[in-house]
Amino acid sequence: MGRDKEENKEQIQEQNLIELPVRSLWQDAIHRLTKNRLAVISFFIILLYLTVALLSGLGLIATRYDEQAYKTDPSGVSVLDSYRPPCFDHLLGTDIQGRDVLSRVIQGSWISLRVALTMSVIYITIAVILGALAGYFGGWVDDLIQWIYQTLASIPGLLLIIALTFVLGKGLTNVAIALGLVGWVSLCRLMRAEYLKHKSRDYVLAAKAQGIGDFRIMFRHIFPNTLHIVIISFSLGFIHAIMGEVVLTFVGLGAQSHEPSWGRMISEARAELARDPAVYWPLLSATVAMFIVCLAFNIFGDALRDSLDPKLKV
Amino acid sequence: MKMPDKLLLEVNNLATYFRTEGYTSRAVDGVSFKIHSGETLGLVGESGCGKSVTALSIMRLIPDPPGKIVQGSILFEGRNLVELKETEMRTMRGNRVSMVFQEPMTSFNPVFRVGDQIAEVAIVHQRLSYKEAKRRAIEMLKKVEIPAAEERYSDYPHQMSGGMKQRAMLAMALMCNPSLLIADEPTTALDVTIEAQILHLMRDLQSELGMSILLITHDLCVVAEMAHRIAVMYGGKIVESAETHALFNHPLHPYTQALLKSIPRLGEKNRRLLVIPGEVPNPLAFPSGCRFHPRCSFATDICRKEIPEFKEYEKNHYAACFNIGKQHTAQET
Repeated sequence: MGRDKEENKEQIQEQNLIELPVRSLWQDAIHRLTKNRLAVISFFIILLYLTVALLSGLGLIATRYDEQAYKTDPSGVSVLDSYRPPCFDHLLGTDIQGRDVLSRVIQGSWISLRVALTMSVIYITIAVILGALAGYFGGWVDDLIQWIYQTLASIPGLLLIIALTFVLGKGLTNVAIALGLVGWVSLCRLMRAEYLKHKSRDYVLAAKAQGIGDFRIMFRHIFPNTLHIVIISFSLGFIHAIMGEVVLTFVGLGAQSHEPSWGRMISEARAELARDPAVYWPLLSATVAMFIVCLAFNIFGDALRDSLDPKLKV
Repeated sequence: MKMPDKLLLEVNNLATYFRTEGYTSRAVDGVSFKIHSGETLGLVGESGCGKSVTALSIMRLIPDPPGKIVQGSILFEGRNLVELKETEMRTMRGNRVSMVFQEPMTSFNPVFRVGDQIAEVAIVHQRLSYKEAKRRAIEMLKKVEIPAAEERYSDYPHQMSGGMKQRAMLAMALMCNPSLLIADEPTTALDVTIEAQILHLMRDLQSELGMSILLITHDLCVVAEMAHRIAVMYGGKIVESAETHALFNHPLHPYTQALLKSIPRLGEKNRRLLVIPGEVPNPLAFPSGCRFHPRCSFATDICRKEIPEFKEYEKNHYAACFNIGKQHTAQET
C-alpha cells in the first residue's frame, strides 16, 4: 500500500512536468475565437455598437446636432436645414426637420439595443424555464409545454406580434415585449432537447445518488452545460430583435415619429425617395447601420457556436 | 475476518419490473439479502442479471416510468425505503446511503470543479457553509489519498485521470459518513493496477469509517478479495449466498460451480476453461421453473416445471436448486 502511494505521487509529479497548458471551456473557446479573424472584427464591431449605443443612451454623444437644430428653431424643426445632402457639417446629411442623420442613426442604435435586450430577457427566461421543465420531467409536463409551443409556432409570427401589440398598445417597449413573448419557441425546443440529453447522463444520476434535489440539478448542474446554447441564441436573437423592431416600426406599430429609430427612418424613406432629387441618405444610413450590426452578430454568433461546440474539438 | 452482527440492511423479496408497451421486463424478481454493519457483501452475476437494478432500487433511483418496485421491502436502519416519500428519500441519499458508479470518467459534471462537487454534498445535507464544506472536502480528498489535495480541489474533471476521479468519487460518496456504500462495478472501467489501489483504499476506508459495502461486480477475483459474504445472482434472482470462503471452497449451485470453473487459476496448467453454454435469459421471457435449467448440466424434469426454493443447506450457506445432493456425486464421478 505504501509503495502504491509513493508510485502514485511520482506519477503525478511526472504528469506535472509535461503538463500542457490546461484551459477551461471558455478559455478554449476564446482561444479558438481569436484565431478566426472575421469573428474578431465582428466582435469589435459589436463592441463599438454597444459602446456607441450606451453612450448615446446616457446622452453623452450625438446630442450636439440636435441642440444646434433646437437653437435655430425652438420647436426642433429647422426648415432651412431640411434635407441637406451629406456635407462636412452633417456627415450623413439631414432629414426633413433638419436633424442630423448621423446622430439619428446613433440614437437609433440605443433604441435597437433596448428593444433587443428587453426581448432577450423575456424570451430567454421563458425558453429556459419551460424547456428545462419539459425536457427534465417529461410526461404530462412535457406534453403540456410542447402543446403550448407547437400552438404558438403554428401561428404566423408577424401576425401574432401585430395582434399582441394591438393588445399591449403601440410603442417600442410593447413591441419588445411582443417579440419576446413570441420568440421563445426555437430556444425552448433546443433547451428541451438538451435537457433530454443531459438528464440521462451519468453525472446527473451521480448527483441524484448524492441526494441533490431536482431543481438544483436542473438549474445548477445541467443549466451551465447548456449555457453555450443560450449565449449563441442571445447573440443571434439580437438580429431578430433589431429587424423585428424595424419591420414593426415600418408598419407603424413600433417607434413613434419623434423617436429616432432605424425603422422610423426606413419607413419615412417611402416619401423621401419619391422626391426629386431623391433623398436617399437617411434610408441608406439606417440600412447600412442595421446591415453591419446584423452581419457582425451573425458572423460572431456562428463563430461562437463553432468554438463552443465540443464535437468539433480535436 | 470477524463477522459483525448488527443488521443494517435487509432486502426482502424485492422485485423491480420495467413495463414497456405491453412487455414486462422482470429485471429483479424476488431478491432477498442482508447486510450487517461493517460488512462487505459481494453481489456477483453476469451482465443483465439485475445487479445494478437491485442497487438502484435500494437508492430508489429506478427511472419511473418505465421502472417500478412492485413488491418487497428494503429495511435500512429500521426504515422501509420502499415506503419513504421522495423528499425523505432524498435526505437518505448521499447522506446515509451513498453510491459509486462504474464510470468515473462521466460521473462528474464537466463544467464544475471536482472539489466543489464534493463539497456540495455536505452543503446540501449538513447545511455547512461553503468554507466549512471546502475544508471537509479537502480532508476527504486526503483520506482517499489524492496527493496535493488542496490544489487538486480546484481541478476540473477532465484534468484528472480515471483512477483519480474514482478516488474523488469515493470522497464524494463518503462525505457525509454514510452507513452503507453501494459500489456498482467501481473498478470495471479502470486498469488492473489502479483497480487494486482502489480496492485497497475501499477496504482501508471501511475499517476506518466502519461503513458497510454492497459491492456489485462480475469479477469473482474482486469479491474474493473484498467481500465477507457473497450473493450470486442469476436471472433476477439470488441463486446462492454464502460466506466467501465457503462459496469458493464448495459452491452448491451448479451456476456458481460453473462460474468458478470458468476462471483461470494461477499455477494451473493445461486446463480448458469451462464455457457455460447458452446465454443470459431475457428478462422479458424467463424460462419456466429454475431459470438456469436450459444451461444447467444437471437439469431434470422438476427443474423445468418448478421454481426451486432458496434454502439454507449448510450454516449461513443458502442456495436455490433441486439437485444439491445429486450433483456432488455427479461431479465426483
